[in-house]
Amino acid sequence: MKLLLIEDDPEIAAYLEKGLRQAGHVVDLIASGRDGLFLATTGTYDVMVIDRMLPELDGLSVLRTLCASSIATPVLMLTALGRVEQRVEGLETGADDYLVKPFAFSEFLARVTALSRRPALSQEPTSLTCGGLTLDRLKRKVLVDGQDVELQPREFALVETLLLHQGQVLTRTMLLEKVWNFHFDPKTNIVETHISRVRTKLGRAKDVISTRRGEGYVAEEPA
Amino acid sequence: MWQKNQPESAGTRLANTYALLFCGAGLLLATIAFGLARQVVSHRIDQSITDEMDALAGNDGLASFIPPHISGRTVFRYGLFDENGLQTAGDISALPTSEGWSQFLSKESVPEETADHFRSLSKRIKTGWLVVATDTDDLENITSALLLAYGATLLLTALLAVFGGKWLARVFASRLDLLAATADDIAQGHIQKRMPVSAKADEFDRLSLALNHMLDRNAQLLEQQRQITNDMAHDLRIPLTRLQQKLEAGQLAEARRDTSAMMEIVASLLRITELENDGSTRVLPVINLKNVVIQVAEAYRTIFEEGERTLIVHMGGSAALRGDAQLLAQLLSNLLENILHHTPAGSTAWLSVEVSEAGSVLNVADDGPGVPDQETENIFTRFRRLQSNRATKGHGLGLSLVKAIATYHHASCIARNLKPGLQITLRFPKLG
Repeated sequence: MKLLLIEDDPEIAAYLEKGLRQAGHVVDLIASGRDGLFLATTGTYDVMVIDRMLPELDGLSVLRTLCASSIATPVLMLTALGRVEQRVEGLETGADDYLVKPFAFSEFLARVTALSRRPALSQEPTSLTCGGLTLDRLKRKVLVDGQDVELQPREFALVETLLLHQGQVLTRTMLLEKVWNFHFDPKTNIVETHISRVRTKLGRAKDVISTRRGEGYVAEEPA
Repeated sequence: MWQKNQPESAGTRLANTYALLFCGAGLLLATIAFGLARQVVSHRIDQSITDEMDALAGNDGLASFIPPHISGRTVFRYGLFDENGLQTAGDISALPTSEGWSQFLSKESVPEETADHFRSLSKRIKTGWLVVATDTDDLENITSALLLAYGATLLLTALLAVFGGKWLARVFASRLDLLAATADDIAQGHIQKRMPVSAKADEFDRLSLALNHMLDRNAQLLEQQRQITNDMAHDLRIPLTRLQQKLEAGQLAEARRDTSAMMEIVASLLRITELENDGSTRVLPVINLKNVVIQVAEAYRTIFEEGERTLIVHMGGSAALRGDAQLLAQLLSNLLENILHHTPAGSTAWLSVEVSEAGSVLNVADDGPGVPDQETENIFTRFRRLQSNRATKGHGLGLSLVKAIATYHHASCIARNLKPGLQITLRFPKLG
């Protein structure tokens, strides 16, 4: 995967670049908004990571210009401004995801990966399967080996979200955002508790959801 | 910096202006009164001459009525002249040049007196001319008396205005100097000093009281700030120490956990500060509190069950209010987590939304141990943790954030001991 990283803080930039390279990605690192915009409009990238506060041209302006020139590359915006309105402003300007500093690298990588695999909206399937697990999105039903499994609405949403991103690690924060619409960090283990509940209910298909220690959860065919 | 004896003093300027105004007004008044008095007196003189003239002029053999010389006691003096202007009777020797009113000076009649001012009226009669005159001493006397009186009064007024003004300015300045000196003192670090308040309870005292109130409030905030900084340093020192130990021991995973604990503290503090700074000016969208409560309750129900606690939700209708759904969700989440931390297994928590005339009311209650009565006010203070809870997890910012979010929504936030249990009530203003 080829990434464009526009970040002016040399330490954070070097840290992210190193991590991304280790994960097998190609990274173009740029420190200023203007140069970044030039590369973004001329090169081809799978994902762009843009810091909000940049010298010369700030991240939001870069985003606006990209949107105006119909460049559809998914954008992850990094920022130290964590307020909900600021996040909304970023997303409305055209960012596909938003990450507030400071963040763990695993969180960053999971989000970048999720962006690169974002399916087109029209292709959303109505039925999802993984291992012995089938989820019917229209009837809102989950079947394990043809047997109905009773799930609470949030539990259903949790399984649905994981299955929509099969093979891809979703962090605790990502799940909180996608499933519960919590854009803050509750101290309680909401995600953990619900995952363990769901696993119990899924019975023989419980291994479909596996835990990646220190990273998050992933739905995949059990080995 | 305040300087004493400033060349430019508002008090002196005001006093001088007033003195000028006073003197001007006095002068105007005196002029008018003086003019009126003179007019009245001279009118009366003219009237008496006219009356005398009328009484005499119609008579035949006028000469017999007119004494040849002034008697000394007579008010009037007369002169009778023939057609050719020759004196025939009376003691006025010269016929005035014209008919009607005229003035003349006379020394001849009463030699020992100084020259008198006379006013005369001459009239043509059958035999020639009749002149009636009277001295205008009265007028002159009254005039000079008036001038003296008015002059003295004006002088007194001017003196009063100038010196009174100066005195007044000095009184004001001295009291202001007192305030300024105290303010200087406070600025130089004597923050416990307060403005002087006298028993007079006048406007200066009211100003002093208002300033003192402000100073008290500032001192309180300063103390609070100091306390927060102190607490923050303490609260960060524990995870920092642990972090150092773990880094030295090479326990990276644990070290990361400590770092996130610190980040959490810093993030919460930032968030509270942001909310406090930012509040009240933003126009928030209309949302339904009920939906937020359902969303949060749904997320926590399982947690409560796992922790062998019961969560009961009661909805009294839909509660529309202007708010930030994410912030309110965080508020509820903090309150529920507070209950999870501070109640034993088997406890029950109640979450209720009621809609009244005054607005929406959110109640979050539990039947746990509650807090001591004297602490119900304090639990929203930053870093406030009951001594008994010092050892437990948590950074003492959860309820401060609740309070900050409530204030951001113009909602009141009150804690009450239920015995057993604690109830936190938020009253949101009616949707306007």
